[in-house]
Amino acid sequence: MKGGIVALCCENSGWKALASLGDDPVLDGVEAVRLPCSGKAETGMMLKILEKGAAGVLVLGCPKDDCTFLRGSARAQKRVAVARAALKDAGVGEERVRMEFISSVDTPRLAEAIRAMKAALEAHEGKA
Amino acid sequence: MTGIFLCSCLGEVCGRAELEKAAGARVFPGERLCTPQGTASMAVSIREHGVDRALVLGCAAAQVDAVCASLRKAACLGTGRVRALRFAKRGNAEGRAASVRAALAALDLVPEVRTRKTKPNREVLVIGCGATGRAASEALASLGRTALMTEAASVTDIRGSAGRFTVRFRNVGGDGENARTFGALIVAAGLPEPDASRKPFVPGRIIPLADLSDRLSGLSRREFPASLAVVLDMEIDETRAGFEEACRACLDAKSLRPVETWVFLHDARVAGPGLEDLYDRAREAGVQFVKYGGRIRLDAAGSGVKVRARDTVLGEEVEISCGLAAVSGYGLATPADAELTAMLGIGTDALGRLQENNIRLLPELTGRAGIFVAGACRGATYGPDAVRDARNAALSAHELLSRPVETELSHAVVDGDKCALCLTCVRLCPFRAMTVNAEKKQAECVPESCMHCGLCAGECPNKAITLPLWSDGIILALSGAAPDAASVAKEKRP
Repeated sequence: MKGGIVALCCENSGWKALASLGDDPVLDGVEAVRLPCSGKAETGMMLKILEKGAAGVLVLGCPKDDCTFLRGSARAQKRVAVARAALKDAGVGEERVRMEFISSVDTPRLAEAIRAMKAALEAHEGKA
Repeated sequence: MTGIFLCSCLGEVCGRAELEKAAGARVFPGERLCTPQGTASMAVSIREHGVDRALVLGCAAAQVDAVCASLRKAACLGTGRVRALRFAKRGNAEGRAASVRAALAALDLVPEVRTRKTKPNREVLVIGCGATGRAASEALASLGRTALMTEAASVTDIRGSAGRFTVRFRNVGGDGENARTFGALIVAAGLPEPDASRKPFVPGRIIPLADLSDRLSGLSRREFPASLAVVLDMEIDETRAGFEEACRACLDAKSLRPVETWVFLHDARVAGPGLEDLYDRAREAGVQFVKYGGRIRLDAAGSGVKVRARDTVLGEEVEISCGLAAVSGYGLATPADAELTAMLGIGTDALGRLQENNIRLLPELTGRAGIFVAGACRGATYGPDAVRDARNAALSAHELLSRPVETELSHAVVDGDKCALCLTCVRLCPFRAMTVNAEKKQAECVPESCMHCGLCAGECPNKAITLPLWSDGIILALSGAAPDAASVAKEKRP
């Protein structure tokens, strides 16, 4: 997999879950960027990060009904959908942007999500 | 100047000289930075050397955020001026140097954040003059605070934010309006009565439970039904209020004339003072309770009503014909008054009641600071629950208004040249922090209401909104993608 995964994390959920993964090797090649809310993740920003050389962007938000800012996760999901559609149209592979709803204590599922994304990116690279 | 604080736990991972060379900033080595002593020693170094931005390097992931927060306080550094990096033992020197440089670049872009103190208005408006509203006003009075009570129907407009809401009222008699300013609002409006013409009501046959006692007492001996069905939990699972009302209504009916009585419910809710006793009395008086599952069907047939449901105790369908059926209003999905909801600008739950389904909202809280909800309008229909809500709301309002509000001015900033007044941010903001400035012809953020989530900045179609502490440059710098020179220059402009 060329380039790493940039994880845009909501500081109330994804960031904490990533922090409690600690030294886990699953985090190799993952750059965590703290955001106040996943709702701050802009479509343009996701594409820009890919443009600068990252292999994938993983947006981590609170479960939709538990969002600290009430509607942040739901908005982020919409924007991730837009980014994926744009990537698909451009023929770059929509799996390069993903969104996961992870609570701050759900570290096993986060590790699973990162592994799945890495696998998907590698599969995509193999195809291309 | 920026200082890098290197924890002893990274001693064997990366050296001071290596870091200083890679980062080009002064490195302060320290012992166990995650302990209170470590934090204190960092604060001392910060003051001695005039450090204004700090980067903490350590290994302990879980504590890092807490350490940063306490260091920021101890060293009086501005918001966002302390960052942490955690290094795995495995990484390579090159990767570490790149991360440090990225974090330093992000730190450089953090602007100065000022704070502003505002004095809130001391008065509280209680909307709703029912039992809940009264309880809230009494609680406020006992806290030494003045409260004004009003019915929801006389409120015509609500503007402003926590500490200074301007509310307009319709004058008695309907001519003209009045305006007044309040520090906080407590909404205890209750739910509108379910319309007797809506489903499932059929005049004279299927009536609201609230009207049952009145109706029965007006009937002569010949008109009095021989059998009566009371239906709870018809559309939604209700609270103990409906159960209590049903038991009392059945006992009342039985005391008037002998009448066969059934109560259909999902669950007998007896967990409240006196409810178990009331339930026992109803059963002794001959009221039959039928626990049903799923939907219940009521059909006005002939001169009576046919009730069909699946009895979950017997495990079979039951059908009962009775002279009169009463349906509890608490079991019907009644949304809160739409006009009031729109004026308040707070979210509703799936049933349209005045509080969003969100685990982070405590019982009295809404998305908007300074607006509190209590009682039936948020679904707490049982008396003691509603009173508890009212007291919580009063306490929260009192706490909010008892001291000046100190606000960090790191709110969303709108670029007036770019703003096209599309109102996306105004509609989107969950906290109603975005308003329209009619003079400047642009959207504007109210710092006191802004929660710094960045939803508006993320959504603005023209990219007119920025969140100073989380600007694009900072995010790009942290994502390992070095920001290009042009974007950095733009970010640095005040």
